[in-house]
Amino acid sequence: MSDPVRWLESPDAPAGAKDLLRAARRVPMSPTVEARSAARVAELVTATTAAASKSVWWKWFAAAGSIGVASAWLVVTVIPRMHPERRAPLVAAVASSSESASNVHRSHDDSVVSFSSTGDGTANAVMVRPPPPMRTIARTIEHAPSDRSRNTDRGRQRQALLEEARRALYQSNDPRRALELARQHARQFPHDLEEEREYITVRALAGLGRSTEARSRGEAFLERYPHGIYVGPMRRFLSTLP
Amino acid sequence: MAGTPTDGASGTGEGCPLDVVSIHGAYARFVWTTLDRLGVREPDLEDMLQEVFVVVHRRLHTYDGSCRMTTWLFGICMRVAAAYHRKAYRRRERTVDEWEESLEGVASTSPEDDMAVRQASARLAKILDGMDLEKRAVFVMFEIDGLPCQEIAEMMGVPVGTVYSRLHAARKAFIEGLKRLDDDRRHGGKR
Repeated sequence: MSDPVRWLESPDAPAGAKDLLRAARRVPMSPTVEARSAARVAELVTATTAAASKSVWWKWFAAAGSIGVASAWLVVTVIPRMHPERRAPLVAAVASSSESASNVHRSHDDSVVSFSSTGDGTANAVMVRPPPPMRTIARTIEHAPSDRSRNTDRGRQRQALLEEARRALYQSNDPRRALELARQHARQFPHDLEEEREYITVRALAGLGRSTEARSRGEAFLERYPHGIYVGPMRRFLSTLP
Repeated sequence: MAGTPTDGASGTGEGCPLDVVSIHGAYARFVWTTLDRLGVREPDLEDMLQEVFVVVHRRLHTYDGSCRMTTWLFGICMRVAAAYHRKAYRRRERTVDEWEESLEGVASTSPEDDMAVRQASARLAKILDGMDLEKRAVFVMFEIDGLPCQEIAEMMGVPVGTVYSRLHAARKAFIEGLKRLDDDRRHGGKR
């Protein structure tokens, strides 16, 4: 099929159409306009490239910031929970590990236990228990109360009381003070560190010469905590009582 | 007649580097001529040219080389021109007279001839403005620019039969528009 004849070349064109078609005028593109347009297009490309590179830069910045925040969160929140002994000093309990009356110090979560001889004051051994499994840690974090800082202060306080009682008993040789602190601890934290507190109380009572009472409480202690960590030391201590 | 479909361009996308600066260098005149054919007025041509290349820059990744670059650019010009006519409808009505006034440099032998050319150009613009863009593009390229239908079909990305049918419809619309203008002039109407 061939193209139809153009009106400008056809005798059958409508009247007046040829005059209109001949008057048609195309607007030529001047070199100035072309150069100006080319410059605008180049600017467009440059601006887009700059915007794209800026966008990439911001993405890297955001990623680095996120990593920093996550790291800070780990350092401040998670790691102290995984290794509480790094923040809380050894608190402990004291026990006779041998006939020469060695002391046993342990942290509040039993993760670190140290033995030292009371005779010459040198440490004989340190036992570090493995940290709790990750699932336990996750559960601890998951159920962590919102008022975390308040609980941390409370934990420090209850540890400090027993620590002071232990120092009064073994370093200051002040069983009265030790007993008083143990009772204060019992009033403030009746359900916390009971085994450790009761052991100090028995030792303090014995130090005050109240051997009968100490024995009675010691035997009650053995019945209450038959598998406790202080069972051995308590038995050995009771055997030394008159 | 000024402006062929491949002014400043090879007409194919083969071997043409696909970056907007290179495309501008090769096809700016083609885009300019196409926009002119699609009824973008002279004062707005430069802005619309820029608009087309903004679209090209944004959509270049979608060009897969399955069609000619001119066909792809023609489609963009069609959409840009359609948006232009929608937004500038009232302005276009106003600028017809301005366009008529701006017809300078038209070769004429006398002031009477000059006036006749101006009036004919204005009437042609009014008739073409009454057509839809596809018919207008085919009519202008065939009747004014003298392009063969096969080339028009390739440029528009349609079968040549479609060009024939659009040309037929465009001629019919042109005749109706011409008749309407004659009736208006006969009845003393301004336009």
